[in-house]
Amino acid sequence: MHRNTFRIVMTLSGSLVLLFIIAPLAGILLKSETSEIVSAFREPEVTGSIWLTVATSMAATFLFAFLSLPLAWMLARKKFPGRKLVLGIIDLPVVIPHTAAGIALLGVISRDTLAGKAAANLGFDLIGSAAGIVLAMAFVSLPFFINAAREGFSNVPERLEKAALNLGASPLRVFLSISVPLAMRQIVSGSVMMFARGMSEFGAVVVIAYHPMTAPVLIFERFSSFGLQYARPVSVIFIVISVVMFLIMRLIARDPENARN
Amino acid sequence: MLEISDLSKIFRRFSLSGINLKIGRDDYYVLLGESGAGKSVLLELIAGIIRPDSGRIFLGGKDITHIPVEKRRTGLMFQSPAVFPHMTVSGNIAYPLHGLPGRVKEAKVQELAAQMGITHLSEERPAKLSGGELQRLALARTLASEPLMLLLDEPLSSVDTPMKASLRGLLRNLNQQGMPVLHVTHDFEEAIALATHIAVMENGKIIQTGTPEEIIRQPKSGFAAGFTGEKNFFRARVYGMYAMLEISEYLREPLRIRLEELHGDGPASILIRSGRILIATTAPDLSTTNNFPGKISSISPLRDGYEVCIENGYRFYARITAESFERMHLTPGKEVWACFKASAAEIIR
Repeated sequence: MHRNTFRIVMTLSGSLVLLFIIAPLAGILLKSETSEIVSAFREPEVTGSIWLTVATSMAATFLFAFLSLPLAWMLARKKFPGRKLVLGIIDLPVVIPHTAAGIALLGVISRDTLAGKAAANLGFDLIGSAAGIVLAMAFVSLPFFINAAREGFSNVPERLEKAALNLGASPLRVFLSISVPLAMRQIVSGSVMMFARGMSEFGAVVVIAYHPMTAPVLIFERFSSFGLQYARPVSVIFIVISVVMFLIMRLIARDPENARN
Repeated sequence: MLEISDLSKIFRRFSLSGINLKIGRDDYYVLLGESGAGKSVLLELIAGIIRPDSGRIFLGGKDITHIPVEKRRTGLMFQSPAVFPHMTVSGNIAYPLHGLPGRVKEAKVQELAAQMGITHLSEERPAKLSGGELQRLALARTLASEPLMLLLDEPLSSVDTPMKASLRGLLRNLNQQGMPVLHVTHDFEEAIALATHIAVMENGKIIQTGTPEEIIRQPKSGFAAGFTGEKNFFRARVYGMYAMLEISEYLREPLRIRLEELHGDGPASILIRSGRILIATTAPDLSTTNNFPGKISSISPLRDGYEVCIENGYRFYARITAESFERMHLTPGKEVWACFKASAAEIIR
């Protein structure tokens, strides 16, 4: 094929894909009236759902990222039987339908299960609550974090950890003072991905908690009960907020100080 | 200080076996061998990063074979300096001083930085340091952990040549102040410059141990002999532009070798490559400044000529072409002169 023709084909197919992503987003922004958006923004139901979405996703990210750091480190550093199986299990939530994930999760946290009863004893309910939403979001978004953190730990030169041990530091101190800081960039970017993925989750969340409503559930509810006209302003607000949050966190994740030798 | 008995470790494609080693408090022990001989593995076994399959390791009289890495107090330095890139120079030195009061820690960091000559870099990040500065930093940090001995894994290989000499000096001083050293290298000159003892390693085994002279005079391995195709190796003492060779039993006066430049007085090793020694059958009128009469004691054929040994209380080996060998009618017992320029005498310190 001629060189120029090749370039034209590549550019065209690339542009087509880009257009496919941009067109719906641009369309929804252009079709929405500012007045509609402003009035939607004044509805407590809308702002409440957006805050709930941001807060629950943030809670899911902080809580589960913290809990899964040791697992990510082990997967990066240790060779153990069944390691490949564990890697596969971690990716499972990404490949199964999210509503099915929600149903599966329901099986372990509903009121008659061990976890459900334990929560009830502590005075709250996992189903139909913010706590349940946190769990649903974490379940489907955790793979993004674990894989990024594992990658980060793998990139830390092992000899630095060995050197720290040799200098008399305990394994825990080596983990906290060498491994985690040096993998921080990927840990933060994994957290950003997890947060973004958690915020946009609908399938698993709607199964665990229709109420209180997160933004994606609210959008779905408005669409199915009142039609496109009513769903659109909320969608626009949520898209804009998601993009802004994502950009802010990406900026935070950029850390030139962390360059290694 | 360090005693290793019958240490073995089997990997899939390589094994280390029957390692016995005894290193005293004043020793500067160099482990010499080609890459892949198992030298670094032995250091990691001593440091506890790898666990042995069998055998024992004693440090300071204590069995450390099953003690975790962080409790062994073996100061291991890696080939490429393992400094922490996210900490400053002083942060790196302070790392092992965790838990000490701030003021004590600060004083210790400053003292070590000064000892290693990196005080001016205290607040820099390691990314800005040169290879030599990084190794000085790594050494300062290792010393901060108060190790019982130093385990050095090719510590000078990432260092520029001009910095090498000063780092060697630092290491030698540390040893003379009572720090036992086990230094791994494949660089023969480095071994000669530093070692009080050498162990030669090949295929996961220690095949010879001894003083540098012993290893050079009677190499037991092809590897050691590979270097010691150069046999003109002498212990000497430098005075100004001259080096007095260590006295031999047959001579009343030590031989005096003229040097090309000033090297600083004191003990040194001298290497004269056999290819740079010429043979003259009459009193030489040559530009060489070092001309010593002697008798041919042996002649050995080489692939590309002959190696002639001239004895005069010392042994000088000269490598000459077959052509000149025949022209001069050299035979054992013949009186000849061994001649070489001042620049042929290499000082190794």
